[in-house]
Amino acid sequence: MLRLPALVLLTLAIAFGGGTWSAARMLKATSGFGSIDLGAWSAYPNLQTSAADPFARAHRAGDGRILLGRAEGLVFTARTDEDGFLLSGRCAYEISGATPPARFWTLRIADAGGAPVQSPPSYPDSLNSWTTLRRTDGTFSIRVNAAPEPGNWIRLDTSSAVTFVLTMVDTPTAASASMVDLDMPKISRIGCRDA
Amino acid sequence: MRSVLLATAIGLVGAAIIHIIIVLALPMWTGKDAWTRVREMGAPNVFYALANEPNPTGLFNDDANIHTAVCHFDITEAPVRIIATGDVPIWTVAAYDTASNETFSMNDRSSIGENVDIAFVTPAQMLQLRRAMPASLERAVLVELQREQGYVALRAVAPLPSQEPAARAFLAGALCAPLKLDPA
Repeated sequence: MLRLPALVLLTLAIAFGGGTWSAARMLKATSGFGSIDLGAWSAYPNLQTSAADPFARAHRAGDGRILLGRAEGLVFTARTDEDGFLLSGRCAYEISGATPPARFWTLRIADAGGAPVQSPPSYPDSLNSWTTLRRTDGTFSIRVNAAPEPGNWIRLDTSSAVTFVLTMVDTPTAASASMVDLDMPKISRIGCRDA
Repeated sequence: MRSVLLATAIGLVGAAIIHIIIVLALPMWTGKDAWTRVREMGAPNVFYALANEPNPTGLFNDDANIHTAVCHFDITEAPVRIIATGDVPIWTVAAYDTASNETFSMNDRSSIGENVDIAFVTPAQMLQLRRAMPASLERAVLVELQREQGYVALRAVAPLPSQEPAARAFLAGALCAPLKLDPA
């Protein structure tokens, strides 16, 4: 007698439970399609446009940021180093090489959710294309470490996972068709402290 | 047993439909999307410079070197004009509709002269302007927007700490005012 209601209940439980769970999981796992990946770095050139896919739009609405427009710039984010290990706030890194052409760029550190990791006052928590020292061939090497270092240094001392954010202002990168040829800085891990 | 399998199969189809509905409907219901946050900053037609630190408005400068000011507008009645002048190395500006889709963006290299001078108009206002262009708009960049409501983000880049006062002054002096058109 109770068979039909039980079956209806099962159907509804699977539909609502499964639908909600899978949507939440998908939105957590991906920030949308259409990313361009260069080594450890990835960017979403269409995130702020009407061409963004539904997952990217849901993410965009949840984050509530004022995104950079096409003529403004492009934001690259790195979650891992060159070897594919997640970036940790307990490790020291070297970011070296060159960036694709841009009029201005900044390199800063964010947590896994994208919020900036701020250093205490008078410690550098970001560098930009004006303040970075270069070699004679135009390349640079930036040390990201808890202990101060000579040359280019960004302080990183936190216990959680981090991401490196490279913001390029006024860059033709987004429109560039041959993405694979672009040089991005390499992120190599120097060492880690004990937890 | 077969009816249990049938119920599970229908449930999975329902789950797929609900998955799609949630993902598509979410942007309308988060309550913390950029348009909602910009509107909560205050009255329209005023530029609000964002703080560098996270704060209750939810909007702040992600990048300490890039200062942002936002202004929301409605051009149903009259066009809105964006004007800013100052000594900043780089400025950029982008306009978004209420769904936060980019409708327009430019930077100082693509502008006429060094200053920000943009007018956002509806297609009908554009026709009116083409008939009789006011002298004050001759050097402005005219942008036709398909949707009346939206917001504009103006950014000033300050690579060095010594340039921050200039960037702040650039944003503090920025205008986002409705433009009076003579009825023709």
